[in-house]
Amino acid sequence: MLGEFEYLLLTAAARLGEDAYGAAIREYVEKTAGRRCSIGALYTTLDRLESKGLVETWMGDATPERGGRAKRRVRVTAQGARSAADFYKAIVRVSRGVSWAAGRAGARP
Amino acid sequence: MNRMCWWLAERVSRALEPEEREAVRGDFAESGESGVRALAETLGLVARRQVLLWTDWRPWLALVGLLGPVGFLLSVRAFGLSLSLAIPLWASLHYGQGYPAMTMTEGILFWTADLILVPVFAWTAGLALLSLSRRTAWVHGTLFVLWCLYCNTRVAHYLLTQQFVFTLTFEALLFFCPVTFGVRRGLGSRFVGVRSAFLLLIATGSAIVILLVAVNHVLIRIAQSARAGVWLPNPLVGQSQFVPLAVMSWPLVYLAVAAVRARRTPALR
Repeated sequence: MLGEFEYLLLTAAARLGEDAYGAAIREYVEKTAGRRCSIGALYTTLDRLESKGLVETWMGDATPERGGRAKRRVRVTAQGARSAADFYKAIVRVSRGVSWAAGRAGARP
Repeated sequence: MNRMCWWLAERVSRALEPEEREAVRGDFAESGESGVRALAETLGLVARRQVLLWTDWRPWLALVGLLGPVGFLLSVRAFGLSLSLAIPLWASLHYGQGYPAMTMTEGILFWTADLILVPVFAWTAGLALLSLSRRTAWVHGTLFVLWCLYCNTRVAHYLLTQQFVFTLTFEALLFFCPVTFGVRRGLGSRFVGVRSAFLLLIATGSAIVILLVAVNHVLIRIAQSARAGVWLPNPLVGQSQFVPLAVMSWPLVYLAVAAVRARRTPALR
């Protein structure tokens, strides 16, 4: 089972697709989840996900807007997508009938 | 302030692996972070990486097996040897003669043996520290220096200032310089050559035998008659030397075993 932050990173990476790399994932998580995402948490969690085989990372090309420095690019693997889907289903199931899930997808009328 | 934080962040980021450092610096440049936040974020990442490194057994072996016992025994021995060189020098400068305790032959035996052992043990301890856990070396190095300074200050208040300065000078040459050279060597390569390892083993083995044979003879003779002679024996080393010498030898044995393994398995290099 994934942790909450691992799920956030997997989802952000999947959503960003080809544009998934360190700074972009961090910005996406901070904007959409409304929580701070430190560089330390980001890169150590990416390492953990990679060691579990849930993402692949590699160094991309250097770009001028990054001061000529390379990006650490991220791709979600098939196993990562399955794990994220399982996590999401578990969250939806466990949330059915609770007040804060009313009116949302998966909530009981 | 901002520039200083950037400078510090850049310095701190050197503790990261080159690829990660590149990615992190690029992320900061792209997102336009302030120097303070970049510094805090870099410190956070380095701290997390260090914590993760300590989940492995090697840094703990370096700490508990090398830094603690070898660091303690070696710093005491090095300080004692430096003292045994500094006090006669100081005495001859002030009184025109050395401090009588050992005969010339005994002094040369002790002196030569310790002058081989202390620098070799110091060098191998520095190299073994890097060989065991390169990325935690700065933590180990800081603890090692603090530990040695603590051991020195325990003895220092028995000495006059000039005696202490003389002693520290010898200690710097015989102990701190070889440790630093060992660490620098370890930054380049974690292994020594098989031939070098065995030469060091033979040299230290011979020096240990000389010490073990000579020590009882000298201590008995000094106890019977504390007169004619030129050097003090290492004053901080007790009569039972086998166990301390064996403990201080293990980094060298480890390096010799690693050298043989590296020769058989080139992929380890």
